Amino acid sequence: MRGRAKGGDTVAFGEFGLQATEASWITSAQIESARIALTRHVRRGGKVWIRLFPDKPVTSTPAETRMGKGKGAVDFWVAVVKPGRVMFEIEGVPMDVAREAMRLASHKLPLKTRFVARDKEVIQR
Amino acid sequence: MPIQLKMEKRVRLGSREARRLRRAGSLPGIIYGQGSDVSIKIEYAEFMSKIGYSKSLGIVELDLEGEELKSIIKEVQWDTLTDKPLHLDFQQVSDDQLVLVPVPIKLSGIPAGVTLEGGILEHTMHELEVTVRAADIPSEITFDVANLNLGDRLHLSDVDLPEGLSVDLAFDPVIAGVIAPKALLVKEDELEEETEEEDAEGAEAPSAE
Repeated sequence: MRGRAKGGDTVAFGEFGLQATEASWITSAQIESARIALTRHVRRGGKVWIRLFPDKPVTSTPAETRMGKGKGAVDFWVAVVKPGRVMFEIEGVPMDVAREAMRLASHKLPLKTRFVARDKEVIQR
Repeated sequence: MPIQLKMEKRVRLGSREARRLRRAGSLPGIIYGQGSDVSIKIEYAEFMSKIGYSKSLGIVELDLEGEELKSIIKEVQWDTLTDKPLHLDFQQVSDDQLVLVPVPIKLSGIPAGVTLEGGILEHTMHELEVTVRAADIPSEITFDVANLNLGDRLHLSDVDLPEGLSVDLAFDPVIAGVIAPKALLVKEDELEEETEEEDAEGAEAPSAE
């Protein structure tokens, strides 16, 4: 997949975010899994934004099917993610909690990510 | 003491030259605001050591090949993946000139709605565009949110801006608010459902008799 994210590449809503550093398709199940990991770690505190939506259908033909008979049925849905895309954002928790929550969430995703903050100075310190 | 930056005029222009410049450890930029625009280049290390990721800085003194200019940093374009600056815009100003600049908003205090009621402080507005004298640009504006209860919102009209700042907005934006955490909302919904069920049972019981 070529190119970088054309938009959605900055922390826009929360304080901290999880940014993709490579391109991939992310399925709806992976997004949901990452969301659960994120919200479980922060428990009651914090507000989470999901800035991905799986709007691309992926079709497949069932196993042991003969060639032809048209295109297969929709199997799953994916979000197309390119490098730079901020996929999740969080607010209302300390940085160490946010960082750990994002680390846990990143393990549910099929691409390399990095932790980013609205205020770049915070990360540098 | 204002920050001082050394820079040179840039003769070779265009995106290809700008890329070469970055590879060589410099940054392309422009100075505008008074007279004709001047394309400049500045050392990356010089910019990062003196300005870096700071947001609102006020007046910056530029040393353009011996010529001294006063300016504000109007815009810095960043590479969102590497967090490195790509291009700088300087607006030449005089001390008394009114300029429109974004100033970072900081919140002070912990809202009562967070400590007592378990809410979440939502900081909605992170920057405010203000008109101010170039010499008086504040590094940040701080608003006190300690009095906010659960469900309260702090609007721009609720706060007093520091002297010398003016805002020209057609609407009244929300700066921050205290919202209920999702768990609390779910619990309330469950409680409502339970009471509804109890009411329904209570209503059915007399008819059964």
